[in-house]
This record gives sequence, C-alpha cells and structure tokens, in this order.
Amino acid sequence: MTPEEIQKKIAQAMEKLSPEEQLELLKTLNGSIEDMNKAITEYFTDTQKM
Amino acid sequence: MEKQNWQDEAIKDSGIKVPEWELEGTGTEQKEAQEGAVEEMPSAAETRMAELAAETQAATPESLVEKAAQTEALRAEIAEMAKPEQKPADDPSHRYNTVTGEPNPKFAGVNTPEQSEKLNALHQTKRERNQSANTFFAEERNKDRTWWQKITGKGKLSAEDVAHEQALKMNIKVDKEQEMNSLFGISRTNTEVSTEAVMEVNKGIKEELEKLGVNLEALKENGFKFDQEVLTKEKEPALGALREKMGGAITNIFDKLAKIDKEHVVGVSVVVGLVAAMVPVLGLHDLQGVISMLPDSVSNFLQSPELAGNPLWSTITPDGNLSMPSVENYMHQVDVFNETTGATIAESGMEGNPFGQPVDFRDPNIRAKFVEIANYEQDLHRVGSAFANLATIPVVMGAAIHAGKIFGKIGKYFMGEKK
Repeated sequence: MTPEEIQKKIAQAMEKLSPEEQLELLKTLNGSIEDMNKAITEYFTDTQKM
Repeated sequence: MEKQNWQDEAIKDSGIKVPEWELEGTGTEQKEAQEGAVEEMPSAAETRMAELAAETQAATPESLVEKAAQTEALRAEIAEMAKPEQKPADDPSHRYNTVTGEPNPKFAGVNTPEQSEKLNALHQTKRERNQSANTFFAEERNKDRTWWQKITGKGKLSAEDVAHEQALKMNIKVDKEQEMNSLFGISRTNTEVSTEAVMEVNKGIKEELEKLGVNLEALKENGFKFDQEVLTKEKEPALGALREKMGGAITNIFDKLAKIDKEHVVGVSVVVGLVAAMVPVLGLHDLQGVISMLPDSVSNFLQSPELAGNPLWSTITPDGNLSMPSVENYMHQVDVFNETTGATIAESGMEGNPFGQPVDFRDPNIRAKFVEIANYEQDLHRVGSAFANLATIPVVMGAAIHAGKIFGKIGKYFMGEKK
C-alpha cells in the first residue's frame, strides 16, 4: 500500500464521520477529561481530610 | 236677417277667419236661433276650448322648425365661446415657438446659463424635498402596518387575511431554509458545524489535558501509587472513589466512540490517548477491568487489527512519552509488540490483519503488551509527562477534522518515508 493509498483510505474513513459527530466526540472528550480532573481534585480533598 | 251673438261679433272684430261651418249652426241650432233663443254667456268649457285653440295655433310646425333653428344657432355660439384661445405660434408670451421650438427673442438674456442652472438646481431640490416628504409620510402611514397590509392596502385585516399572511410567512421560511440547504449542498435541515466551534472545543481539551498532567504530577508528588500494598485503609475509600469516577469518565467517551465507525482514525487516537492516560490512574492491573466495563462494540474495536496496526502508535516514543508521529516511534512499538506477543506486524500493518487472528485482550500477553505500548516502562513520572504531551492529540485531531492532511503525513511516516 502506497502512501497515497493510505492517505486515500484515511480520507475515506474521515468522511464516515459527520461534522456534527466529530464535534460531539470532541465535546464528550472534553467533558470526560474535565471529569477526571474533578475526580483527582476531590481525591486530594478527601485524603487531606483524613 | 241672420241672428249673431256677441261671440260671432267678437270674432268678426278680431279679423280671425272662422270656417263657415263653425259659424253656421246645426239644423237644430239654427232652428233654435231662429226661434228667438235667449242671448247666452260663454261657458268655462268654451273658454278653455278657445285657449287650447290659441295654443294649437302657436304650436304650428312652422314655429317648431324656427325654434329648432334658434336653438342650434345658440348652441353653435356657445361652442365657439368655449374654444381655447388660439395663440399664434410666435405669440410673444411664449418663451419658445410652439411650432419650431426656436427661443423667443423677447426672452433673450433674461436668464444667463448660470442662472438657468441655479434655477434648475432649485427645482431639483424642491422635487427631491417633495419626494422625501412623500416617502416620509408613506412610511409613517405604513410603519405600524404588517407587510400583508402594505401589500393589500387594507387598513384592517380579516381573519382570512391573517391566515394568509401566516401561511405565506411559513412558506417563505421553508423556502429560505431550503434555499440555504441547497446552497450548502445538503438536502435536509442540518446544523452547520463551524470551524470556530471545533477549535473552541479543541482549546478546551488542550487546557483540560494540561490540568490533567499537572494533577497527575501532583498525585505522584503526594506519593500516590496504585499498588494496593502501599495503600492505607484510610485512603482506600478515596482511591475507590477516584477509580470509579475516572472509570465513569472514560466510559462516557467509549460510549460515544461505540456509536462511531470503529475504523475511524479519530476514534483510534482518542482510545490510544485515553487508555494511556488511564494507566497511571487506574493501575496496570486494572486495565483489563476497564476494558471489561466497555461496551462490546468498543471492546471489539480495541481488539481489532485496525487499532493494533494503526499508525497512531507512532505518536508514542520509546521512552513512553507522546509526541508528534514519527516512523521511528512506530517501528519501535512494532518491534516491542512482536517480541512480546510473538505476532508479526508487517510494516504495512494496516493492510489486512497483521496478527493472523483477532487480538484478544483477555490474553495476558496481549494485554500486557497493550499496556506496555501505552506506558512503555510503567514509570509514573514519565507517564505523567506523557499526559502533558497528550495535549498534542487534540491538535492532531483538530487538524485531521479540518483537512485530514496530517494523517497523510502519518501514512508517509508509516511507509518509512523520512520527513
């Protein structure tokens, strides 16, 4: 498989995701990472109380 | 001697000719007259008959013709008087000869060209002022009217008019929407995703990832370890809560990914980055647990050759950090994977199934290798640094979403071409 073929295959794969789905995915990713940060912050808060 | 009454005498005196038969009475009358009839006064009927006779005399055909002639003459006289005054073409009261268009010498020199220009300008100003005033008053009249009132000219709308207006508004709205959709080449109502919206979310992701890197560093500095042996019983509930929340966060992402085509490279990059991110938090031994929590579609995806052979692995450096993709990074991961699992990933790993069989993450070797790739030496410190470098992921994704060109470069790296 040539680089051009790979590039074409990737481009085809990209087309399967609509702009709305891409944006939704990014928003979900953003929200989940934010949740992780909150979880760690709460962990610090909980352990400091001990 | 013929006896005559006063009427006969009056008629004789007036000179009016009376037919003989009128003067001569009937046989009976003559007889009565002859018998010495008494002299009588004229009756009312006789008087009226005389008047009618006079009127009839006046209305003879000769009189009517004469009257008609007089009327016609009078009519012609009136028509002549009603005609406009016909001035000669060179009437001195005209500025221009109405026939030839030549200027009347009488008015020569009255207005200089400059004066005429000023005069014309004044007239123009006046016209414009009048027009402006007319427009103003028209707008004042219409400002409180609906456009339907303006169209129909009606001051008060009936229920039918209102219904028509509403229907037309809806039609216009639909037509406008269809027109916009047509312009953008879409056949249905859709929400346009702006580049700004995507970049804004990417910016948020980058900021959150930077925070996550800092938090993980803080965990390390506070002696945070996932090894159960070093955990105090007091901290265990907090750790359990952290694990639960972190697992929930990543499950949300996998749920979202489950709805997306598993071959999609954006999904691959998210999985690679987040699984790598989860390792230091959840612990290596919990990775299988994390995977077991995932929807089947995502688990299958994680075990698919598309993931294992994906060039996104080229973003993981030999020391476990994440960076921009390079062929060196990718080949290193391939070597480690092959040594650990005994499988063989061809250099063109995306072509077909590089493993010869589906990857089973229940296999401890496969799972261990997966973890090793994500966190090469299981060093918390370096993985923490890798988290900070995860910020490069959304940049890659953002670029891919907009152009997909970066993935073309990845393909070239993957094929062994140098930059």
